Amino acid sequence: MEDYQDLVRDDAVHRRAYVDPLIFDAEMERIFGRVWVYVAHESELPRPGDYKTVSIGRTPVIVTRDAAGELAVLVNRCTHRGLTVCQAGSGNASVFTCPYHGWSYDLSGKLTGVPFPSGYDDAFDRASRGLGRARVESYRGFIFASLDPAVQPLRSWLGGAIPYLDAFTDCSPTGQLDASLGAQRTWYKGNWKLQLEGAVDGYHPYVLHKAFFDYQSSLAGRRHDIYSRKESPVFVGDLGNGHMCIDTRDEFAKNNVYYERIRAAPGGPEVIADLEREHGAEETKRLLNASGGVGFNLAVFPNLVVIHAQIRVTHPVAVDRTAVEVRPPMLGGLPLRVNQLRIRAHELLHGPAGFVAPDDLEAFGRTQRGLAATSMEWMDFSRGLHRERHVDGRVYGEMTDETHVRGFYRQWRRWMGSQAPVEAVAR
Amino acid sequence: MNAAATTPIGAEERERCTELLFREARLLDRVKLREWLELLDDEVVYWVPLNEEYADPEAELNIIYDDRRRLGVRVDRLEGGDAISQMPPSRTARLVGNITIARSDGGYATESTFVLYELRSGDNQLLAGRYFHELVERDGELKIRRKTVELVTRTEPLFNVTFLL
Repeated sequence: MEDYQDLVRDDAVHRRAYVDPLIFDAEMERIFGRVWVYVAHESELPRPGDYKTVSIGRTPVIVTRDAAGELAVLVNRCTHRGLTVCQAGSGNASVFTCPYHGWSYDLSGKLTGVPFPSGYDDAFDRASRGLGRARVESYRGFIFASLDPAVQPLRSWLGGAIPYLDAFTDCSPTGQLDASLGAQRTWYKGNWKLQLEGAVDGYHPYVLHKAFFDYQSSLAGRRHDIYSRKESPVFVGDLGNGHMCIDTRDEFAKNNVYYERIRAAPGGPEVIADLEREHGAEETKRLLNASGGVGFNLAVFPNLVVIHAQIRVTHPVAVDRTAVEVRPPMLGGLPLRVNQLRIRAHELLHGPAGFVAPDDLEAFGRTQRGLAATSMEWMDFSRGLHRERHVDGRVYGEMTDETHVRGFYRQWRRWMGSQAPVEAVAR
Repeated sequence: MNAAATTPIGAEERERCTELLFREARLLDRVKLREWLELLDDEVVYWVPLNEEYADPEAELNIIYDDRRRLGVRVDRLEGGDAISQMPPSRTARLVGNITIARSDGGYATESTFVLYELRSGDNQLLAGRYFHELVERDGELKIRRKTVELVTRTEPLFNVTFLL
């Protein structure tokens, strides 16, 4: 069994990590088959019987909430002949019935019905024929599942990502997110890791998104230079366990970034005029800056990204194909019209027709094309290696540094080894 | 209901509405976006819903929900040549048919079916769906007051749709 340890250097990763289908297969088992994988936000399943189908790597699963309100993550595979027992993306049900021979399962996965039971003798054990169950834990509404029964506790796994998940949730005055509005779905012709790294990359916005930031500058009537200034309080972080961040909070608030985007949205000027009459101009600006988004990008290894006002999930489909689901939650405690304007500002940038995200996905597709060059073996991420700051086991770099990518690949290398990491084998 | 609203659509009216839909398709395929903007009413809404069932763009998450101002920014972006998701720009050809026309408040409501082929950088995709147009009289001319693009694939993961649908 290949252990892939030579594919990661301190400052570079081998192209095979992005283009080799055998490595993709190994990732699905060694990473997605072992670690906590984000599957849903609790607000998508508010009522008993609510469910959602997703995948953990290649394993189709159903996230359910049973009559008692308990969450379960069930392997969507009939224990009889292997069919998926649930087809819909989401819905409400009390039972999942296999359409082939009619075996049925309740919301906790228990086998409850077998047509013509006389075909089995007394030794037939229903209890062992329930749907497979993944481990499930949630943190402040973010539901994670793991196919490894011995996975470490979720909180210790999230570690350095926790303050960011807290800040994202506390963007709501009541600390409540409602992610049930829906999701923009898109895909790109590139490897799944490109979206994770790219979501936290502070080197590219000034170049790749220049057209958008020129527009943002025109809204504010002055240069939007958050990503182009030489001296900046913005930093990137390797938060441990492969989690990464770019923290732009100070700059976003100071520059009214969210306020300006909301003001430019359809219906924005009218709602802002109303708010200003009620609360005054300064308070309106403060409210929209505070609620428009969170001012940082966070990537939680291996499939969750939190950007501005959205929960983004990557679904690896093949070594060169990745689906992306973008779900902007509504914030509890905000007036509906403010929430709706936040969604309008989100739509400006994101989704398959947004002014920002499609350029990222195009860049990932072009990366995949370029990496076809076998004569060039290494992808460079050396930027800022000489100026990293190590604080309490975390590593920080300046805005344009690739500190976070180095952290991501240290983690990737650890899980991709043929020996399972210590946490995964400790029972 | 007044007499005009219940009178069947005449050949001349049908011709006017149909010609506007065809002209719009031609301008979009030939990327004459400034001329396309001239077909739009100032109060235009350009909506690409993403939900299976959709009713109100204000209350829903959308693929695109643009007013006149944001459409102007979209056209600037498409013409600017800086956005790599449109570098090189998409080439498209669309067929609009199965047109039905009804009278509506101060104008017409049309429903049509479209098939749209798109090519960019060697990647191509085929999109299909229905257009719903609301057309209004403005100084003797028909203008597009609302355009809703109902993609068949709206609930599926979509590839780049940064060109005008």
